[in-house]
Amino acid sequence: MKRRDFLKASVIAGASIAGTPLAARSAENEKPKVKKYKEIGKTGLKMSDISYGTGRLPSSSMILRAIDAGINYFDTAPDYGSSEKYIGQAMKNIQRDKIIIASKFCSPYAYPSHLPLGSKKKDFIDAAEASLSRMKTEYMDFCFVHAIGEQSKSREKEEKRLLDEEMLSAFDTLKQAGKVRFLAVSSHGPDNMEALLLTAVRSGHFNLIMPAFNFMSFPKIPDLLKEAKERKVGVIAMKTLAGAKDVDFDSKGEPFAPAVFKWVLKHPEVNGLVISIKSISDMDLYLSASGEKFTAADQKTLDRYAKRFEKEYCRTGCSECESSCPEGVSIATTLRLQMYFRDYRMEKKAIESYARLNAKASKCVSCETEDCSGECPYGLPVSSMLRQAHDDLSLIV
Amino acid sequence: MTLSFAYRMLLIGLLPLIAVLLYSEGQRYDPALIRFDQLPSDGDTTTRLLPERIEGFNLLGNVRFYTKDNLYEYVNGHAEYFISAGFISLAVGEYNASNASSTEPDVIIDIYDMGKSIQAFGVLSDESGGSLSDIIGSLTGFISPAGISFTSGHYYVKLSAYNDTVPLQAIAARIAGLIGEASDPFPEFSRLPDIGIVAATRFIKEAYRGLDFVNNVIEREYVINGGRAQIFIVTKEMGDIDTMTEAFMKYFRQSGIEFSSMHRKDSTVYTISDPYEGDWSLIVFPDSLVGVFGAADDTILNKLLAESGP
Repeated sequence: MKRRDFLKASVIAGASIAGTPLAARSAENEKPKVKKYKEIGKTGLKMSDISYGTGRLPSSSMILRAIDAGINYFDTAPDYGSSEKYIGQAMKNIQRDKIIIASKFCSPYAYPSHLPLGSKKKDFIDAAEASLSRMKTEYMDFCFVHAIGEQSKSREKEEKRLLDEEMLSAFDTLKQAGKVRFLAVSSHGPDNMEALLLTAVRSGHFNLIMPAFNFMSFPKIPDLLKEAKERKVGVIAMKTLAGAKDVDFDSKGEPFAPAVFKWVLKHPEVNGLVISIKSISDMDLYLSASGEKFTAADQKTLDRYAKRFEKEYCRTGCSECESSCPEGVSIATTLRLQMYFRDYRMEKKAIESYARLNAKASKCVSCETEDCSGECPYGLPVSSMLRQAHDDLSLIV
Repeated sequence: MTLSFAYRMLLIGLLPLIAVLLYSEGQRYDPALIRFDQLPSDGDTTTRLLPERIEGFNLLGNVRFYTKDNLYEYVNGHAEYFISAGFISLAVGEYNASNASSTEPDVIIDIYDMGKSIQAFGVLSDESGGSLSDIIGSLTGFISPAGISFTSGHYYVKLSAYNDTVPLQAIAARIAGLIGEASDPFPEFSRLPDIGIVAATRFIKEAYRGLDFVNNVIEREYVINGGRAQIFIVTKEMGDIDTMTEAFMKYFRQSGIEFSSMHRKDSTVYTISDPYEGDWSLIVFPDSLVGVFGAADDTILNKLLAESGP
């Protein structure tokens, strides 16, 4: 007997029917939906301008809600909690060719779990096939070399990882087998983000780049975007909330997030953006920006946010201060993990990742020279921020 | 002048009432995670859970003991989190291999007394990122590249290894054995029915399944005849049942989700036809909400009605 028959059969002694179907579908039609789709480079795939970053995906049902609202691009990774598993659970209800799935060459362990330089072709293939198995799908549309610019400060080393023959060979094999359609690369720095992504664009191997991109940083990004467009390489923006210092920030009734998204999407080179969505209210708020024009009121909202947080937000992708530390502390990565801890409220992930970081900010606690002070082009108090970050992220001192 | 004097006297007269109101209403906390009504921790007991020798490793120096007053010395920057989650005390032992020449620890064992089982589980669930399972026998926890974490009764135990040769599972089993039978069985767990193989148990702090109004949820996933079912529970200690029930009704209506209801004794069973979750059931008891998703039939609902109520 199915559960819907439960009431009809009155199998429970003493039960009394007190209710009947009560609701009619009406309000659902008024909820925000995706209004705009753009082709990703020259892939032939059109993505929703507001798309789903599944790092905080709470359930498989949220995937279905998102699809119902018009979202068709889902960015996931093996180390995004249960994200791939939830996508797999939703898959039986999804018309696979109507959605676009992007995952990463990555292991399911805590960040940073991206396959490092030295990984073999088999490692890349195994990682991608494990993702497909978890997601219960025959193929993924994009597979990312993720977080380029993070594993080494050396541009040359990261270029080797970017253009690693083992990885490229694995991708060819996966593509021929119909398991991965396109190759992509992402970066949130901290080192050489624009240069590395430009190398990717010029290499001809990549169909899509995903840079950190928002209204508070990245002076060299326009050149990168321009060249990507010329070479018909797709561009998807991430880290668009500029640190998400206060997700409830609004300016005279104008909510912050939609204004930010409209700013990102006004760039014609950008095909869409991915944003973490953890609840229905997040989704409704974010989708209100879909297809909308960036307005003067939006600009005022961004100006107020910038004024409020300009001395607190470490610009993702910027590494101007990185070389100033004689102890080699990973400044930008530490402050990005601090952002995950405080602003994204992903405490566990941030603490674990920090524990695995080689050049932690523990040395900042007793630092007397403070060489990093005054090195931030945006005027951030780097040394005190590092000490605070170390406090937040250290479980064992 | 007289009026002003009378007004002042009235205000002075109201001061005790204002003080009482502030005392009773002004100190809000999340009752799902914080219980202040427990006895102070017995430090000796927690400390005794860390033996001189364990699985070929020797204790380095003395066991360190922390309370709310000095936790920040050890868990710098994270102490507030633990205290807000119900922290009572922490015992830390550092061990290295019996034949080691170095004084650096190979493994560190942290035993947090969280006062209540649910509070220990809340911390474990937060730290795991939601991926909990039975790691050794019936111990609930998670294994990461850096160590093993689990709960046993009201203790949250974290083992951190600093080389690959540390037999973490054996050490975890030994510590669990020393803790012994959970003296404070998880009451919420006992209300989850025995209906199949337990695949996972999670604690979701906010926005369960994306629903903004459903917080502090315990969910258990079962394997039943090859299918999977998830049962969630929110008790009155974790959230206001009436408020949450009203929020569900409002959400169903606003979303156009069809449902019907049936009363039985002091509980109400809602059968919901949800376009995103499929058909599922919500049982409202006077002191809890229980939801059933997935491969569960009326037999399971009957069991829930019989066993999961107050």
